[in-house]
Amino acid sequence: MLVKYRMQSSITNANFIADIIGILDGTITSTAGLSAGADAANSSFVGTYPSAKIAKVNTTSSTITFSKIHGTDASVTHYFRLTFDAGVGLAAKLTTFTVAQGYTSGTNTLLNSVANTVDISPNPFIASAQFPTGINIVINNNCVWFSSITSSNSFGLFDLGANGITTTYAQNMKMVYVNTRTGAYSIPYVYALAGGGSGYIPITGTIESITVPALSSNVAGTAVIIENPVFITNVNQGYAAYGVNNLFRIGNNIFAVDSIYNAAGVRRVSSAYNLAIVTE
Amino acid sequence: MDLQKLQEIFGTEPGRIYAFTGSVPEGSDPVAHITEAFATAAGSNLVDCVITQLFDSRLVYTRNTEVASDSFNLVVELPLPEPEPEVQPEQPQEETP
Repeated sequence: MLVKYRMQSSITNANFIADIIGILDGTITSTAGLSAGADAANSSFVGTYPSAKIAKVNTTSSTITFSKIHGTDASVTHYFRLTFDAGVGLAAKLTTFTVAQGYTSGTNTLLNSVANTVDISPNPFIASAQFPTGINIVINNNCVWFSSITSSNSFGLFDLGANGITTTYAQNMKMVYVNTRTGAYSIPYVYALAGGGSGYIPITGTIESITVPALSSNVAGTAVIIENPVFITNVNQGYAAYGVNNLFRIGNNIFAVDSIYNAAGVRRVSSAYNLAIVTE
Repeated sequence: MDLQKLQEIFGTEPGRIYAFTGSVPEGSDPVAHITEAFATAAGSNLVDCVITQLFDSRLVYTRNTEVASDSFNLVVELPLPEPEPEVQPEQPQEETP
């Protein structure tokens, strides 16, 4: 599901939080459900909310915690937590996106977690054919992703494919936080192969792709956008590779940030760092 | 504990590594128990930390939480300071005949 969330200058902190949380937990699935501070006329919802994959597990003031079930391996559940500040109106801010391997519900404590600063603020909608401003949100079985041009950031939590390490070390996370503006990734809990220092650790790095695809055309002269897979590897895991679900490497600078294109009827949103996020 | 090795494993982003010196009750999950103890020491359950066992020690890695507790000994703050370049003693210039 792709949500183009647009806001008015009158938006409040409470409006902003309620809209973001409602979109994520599936209680808002159309523009009619958005708050009074949203610009419903210029917002849109396309696609289907991934039922039974994402659930809100706790709301404590401005800290909201969600569970996410892996899109293809239903035995794997990880968690993410959104933290908002108390900024008034347009100064409201989603400050932190924390990713966790586990969660203790009784005490609302994340287990094996790493916080990522994201700093996304609301902004009033500006009608522009090229850059309609607002926050784009993708939610589907394999990822949760945010993008804000005016806050100059885009990021998401993506499912990972299995590899030999996840097979042997079952606590190794199968989701990754990716900053799709910079290409940086973070996984809070993976098994490091380091001789006597082997054990579970957090890792960070930069996503990789085999080659940089170029924009091509077919015999009919139609543009062909080549999408290559994106991988994560890390020296601490002997460069064992994970495929990243719903994230592709596209050619350099062929789209502006937040452009949308179709592939076999499924929308993709482009990001800085030449990535495309699959919306369904 | 080899601090350089710890930095190689955890990286150079700012963070702290504590050693957990308490004990884990039999039958309880060590990760949950140590996280709870760390949250108690930090005075908030909104802490971000990773619990791991390396070099026969139970370690807590955190990027943004500082605790002062008998149960958590600070092992190292990352990144390690850059080693100062060695100062080469000045060589006396040889006089030319």
